[in-house]
Amino acid sequence: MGFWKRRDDLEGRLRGARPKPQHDLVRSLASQSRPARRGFLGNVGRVPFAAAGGLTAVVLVAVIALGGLSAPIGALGKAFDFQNLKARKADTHKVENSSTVDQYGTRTNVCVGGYIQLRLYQSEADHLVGGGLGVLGVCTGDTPSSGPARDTACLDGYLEVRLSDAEFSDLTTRHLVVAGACPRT
Amino acid sequence: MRGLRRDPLEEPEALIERVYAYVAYRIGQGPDAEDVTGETFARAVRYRDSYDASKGAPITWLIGIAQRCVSESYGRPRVADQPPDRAAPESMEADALERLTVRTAVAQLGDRDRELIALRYGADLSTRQIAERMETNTNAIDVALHRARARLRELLGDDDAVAS
Repeated sequence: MGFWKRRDDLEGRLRGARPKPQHDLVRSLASQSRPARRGFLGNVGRVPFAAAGGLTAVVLVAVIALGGLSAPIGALGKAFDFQNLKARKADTHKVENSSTVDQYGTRTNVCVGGYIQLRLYQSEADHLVGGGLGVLGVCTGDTPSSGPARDTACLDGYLEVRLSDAEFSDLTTRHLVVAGACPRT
Repeated sequence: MRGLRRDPLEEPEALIERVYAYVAYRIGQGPDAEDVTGETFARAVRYRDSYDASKGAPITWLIGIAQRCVSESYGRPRVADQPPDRAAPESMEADALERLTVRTAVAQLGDRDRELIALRYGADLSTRQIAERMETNTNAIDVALHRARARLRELLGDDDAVAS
């Protein structure tokens, strides 16, 4: 017991005699050593972001493991298909390029070839109808094909339209459209 | 996997005190110890990005720098200060005399003993941390510290009655 007590006494004395720096030195070195703020959040801000990111990853993995993403993925797939379908339908008779497309004004329905429905600005419609390439109003005829609109044709010299193969063949034969893109002016 | 990157100098005040205590036990208290401590922290600030928390606590990293600074500045052991006059003026407070007595005895130790005492009671490193720094095992450090304390006890007087 005496040995341990004596040893503890010496350790206590050594700790008690521990040299201490002057306050000025501590203050000066501390101000030079303290880390500079990094970004507006500093180090403190990173921890919650890292934790949130980690937690999100864990939850995502758990959801995937349980098959919980099949419904959202299915819905996403359907939405994509629906959008694609809409785009295809819209593309069929979409005016791709027009020098007057940015003009303000009301639009009017014009039918080309009996089945190509376009909505054009009044000046465009007047020009088209005046040239005998279309008639004002809604189309009543049936399209020769509902295939993919992959052929570009030029209507009235400045209106680009995308047509299905059958539409393209029909309208070029009837000289209502010219194959290819409209000349850029 | 590495954890979050930690700045070794986030809470510098306590580290400064521990480094200074180590240096002062090694080379004696005063302007020289302040210079070496300052140089240690200047290097630490310069190389703070190289600190790797997986290799040890910030204090062990700093003590490594301090050891190099001490050996560069004081390659040869310094001549120990003279022990204080036992018949010091009565006005000197007893605890101040006690501190001076202990520090003087530490200064009279051999280089290795003084290094161990400085690491353990100045820098307040654990024996395990000291063992890691000296690349040896904890047992060897415990034995070496025991011997260093025994020699210190001799220097202080067998009956430990210096301060009383």
